[in-house]
Amino acid sequence: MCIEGSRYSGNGRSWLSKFGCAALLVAGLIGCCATTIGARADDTIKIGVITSRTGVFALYGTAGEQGVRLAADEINKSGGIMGKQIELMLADTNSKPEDAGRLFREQIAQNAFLTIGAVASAESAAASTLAKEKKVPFFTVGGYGRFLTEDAGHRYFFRLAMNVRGFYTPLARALAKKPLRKYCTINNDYEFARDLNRSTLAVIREGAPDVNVLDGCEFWVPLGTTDFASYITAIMSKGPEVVLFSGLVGPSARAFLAQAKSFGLFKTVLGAHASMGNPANATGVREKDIPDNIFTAGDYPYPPVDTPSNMAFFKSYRERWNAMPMSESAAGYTTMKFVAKAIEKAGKLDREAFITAAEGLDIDSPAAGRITMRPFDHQSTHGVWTGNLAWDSKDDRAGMSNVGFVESTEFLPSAEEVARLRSTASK
Amino acid sequence: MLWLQFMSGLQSAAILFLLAAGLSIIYGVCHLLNLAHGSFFMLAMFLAYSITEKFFSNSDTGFLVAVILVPSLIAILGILVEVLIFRHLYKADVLVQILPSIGLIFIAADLVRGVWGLESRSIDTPSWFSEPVAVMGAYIPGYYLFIIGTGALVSVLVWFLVNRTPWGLLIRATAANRDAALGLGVNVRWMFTSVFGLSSWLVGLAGVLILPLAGANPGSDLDATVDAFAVVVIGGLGSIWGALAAALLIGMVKAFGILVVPQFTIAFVFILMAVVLLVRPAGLFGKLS
Repeated sequence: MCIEGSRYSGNGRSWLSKFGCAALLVAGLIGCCATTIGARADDTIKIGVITSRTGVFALYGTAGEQGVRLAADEINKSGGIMGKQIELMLADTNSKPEDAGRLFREQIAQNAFLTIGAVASAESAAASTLAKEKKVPFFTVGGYGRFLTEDAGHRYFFRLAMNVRGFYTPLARALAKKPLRKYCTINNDYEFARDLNRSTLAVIREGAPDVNVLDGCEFWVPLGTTDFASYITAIMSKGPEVVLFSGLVGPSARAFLAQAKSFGLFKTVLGAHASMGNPANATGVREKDIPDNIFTAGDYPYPPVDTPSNMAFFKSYRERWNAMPMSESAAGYTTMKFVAKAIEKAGKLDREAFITAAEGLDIDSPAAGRITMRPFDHQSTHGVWTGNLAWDSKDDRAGMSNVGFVESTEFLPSAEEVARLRSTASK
Repeated sequence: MLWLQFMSGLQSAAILFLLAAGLSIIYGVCHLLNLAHGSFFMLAMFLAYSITEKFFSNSDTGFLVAVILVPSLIAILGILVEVLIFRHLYKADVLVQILPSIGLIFIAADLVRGVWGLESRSIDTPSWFSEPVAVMGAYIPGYYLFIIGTGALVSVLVWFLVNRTPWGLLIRATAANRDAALGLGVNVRWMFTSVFGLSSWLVGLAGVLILPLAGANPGSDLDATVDAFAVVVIGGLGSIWGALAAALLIGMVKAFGILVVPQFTIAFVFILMAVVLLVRPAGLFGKLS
């Protein structure tokens, strides 16, 4: 196609078709781009990093990647791991699960010791299957789905970030305590959101079995939707007491809130979004659009937790990246530090020894304090903050008020539960 | 209550029309598929944000300035792009035409990311429209009425421009038969450039209007392109009235469809597209060429 050129290429326009071919080549190369950062020597420890730098989850992926890189730089500056410098291999999944799998595979082939994924749940799931097959550890930074460490968890999959249960369990229990029974739900239509909605309602019904999602009031909107007017008017016409919108991704959540404000939805209705305390989910929310009755939770709250470690992390991150840290930033940072610590503990670059060292190991996370890697599901004991959506004027963004901290023991499944989930899953 | 759904559907339609009309016109006159159409939309939103928020501290004046300035800026950008890039490609193979527009998508996306970062940006709705307006017993936000009104006004203006001005006559001639028009002394080059200008102006206006509601996001370009293409596919490539009809159809289908089937709204527009294409393969008002 390219070589024959266009029909009109005869009179001096042939350069255009060559240009076209060249452009195609360049575009193709861009498509499989991967970069390497860090010292290029044989005496390095290669850590693969896949990130959703573009696509729907770009904000989340980039935050995670920046956290990982900040930690890697700090570790390298203070001598590296066992004297060797960390060499990060970065690749962009474009928020696509199939690309996540392919890029992870490539990194394994290029001798990555393990891979950290600043990617969402679906991509993490794709990587997880490969991790198990190739026996190469994979750490998710942005994948919150509970099945990742529960039903589908295995020896080679790790998560320092919080399990999604943290977001919805305390929230659902708080909602169940209220005398409100008529619910509407509106979420983006993808698997993570469907599971989140299902699980949240299940926990609410544990405390309040007669909670009812009103007929025709369970909305599933395409990812990327920002036009919510028709949904809001439909919801208002049903007369609910609570609107659950936890499965709305950042830009959709922001648009929903702004438009709900114009219609006055939350003047009479309580709202709940399980993870707007994750800063990326509250991206762009404006002060005027925040009513005082949105219940939420988060794993990296604003205003930032005032501990020395978090303040130091906050400052370095802002200086390095000229951006506000998000949950994924803290998770990426903690994950990289944890990996380094586990390698040091293992004493050698052996994956099985690494895994043994990692199980039960603890690490300090910037905001959540000391967290431990549970050996039976490879999920960390990262806790959660709950509160109301509120404006953080000092940092000029949405955050939380009435904040309370909940330990992971309140919401993580026990070893028995995990074993049961895994055995039912494998049937 | 149904009335409210209707009004919200009208609002969606207004934005869709402003978004898609330009794309349709460019194809109708220049026979060029501008895949970077959504990128102009996204740039308009971010520019409007900066003008309103940064230069005018998010005041109503800022919004007014943005409404006037941003579409003009985007129009200039569109003209520049046409003169520098697309002008040379009209006689080239379709695939060669598309490549530069794809390149533009990447450039615009990286530019936006570099200047504004990855977070969502929006502005407050202007205070003139903060009060809900009672329409047939239901309250609709003032801003939505403003959008509907502007969309209606603009479509009338475009109709007038295309059907009642000399320029419009020349545009229609060029669209009908480019070579004949050229033979009759029409400055076809200028036609193409001005059409790009108009199309970009429309899409720039859409961006400013939608900013307080939808917010500017890194993915806005592709979402807008998909929406715009859905409209022109259903309405027929090259037909402004097709764009209007399709925008109304899509807006209403979404607004009322969610009352009937809230579980699968993702499918509505695509089902509509399939149905229209089965019945009229060139779109509602399109012509098979």
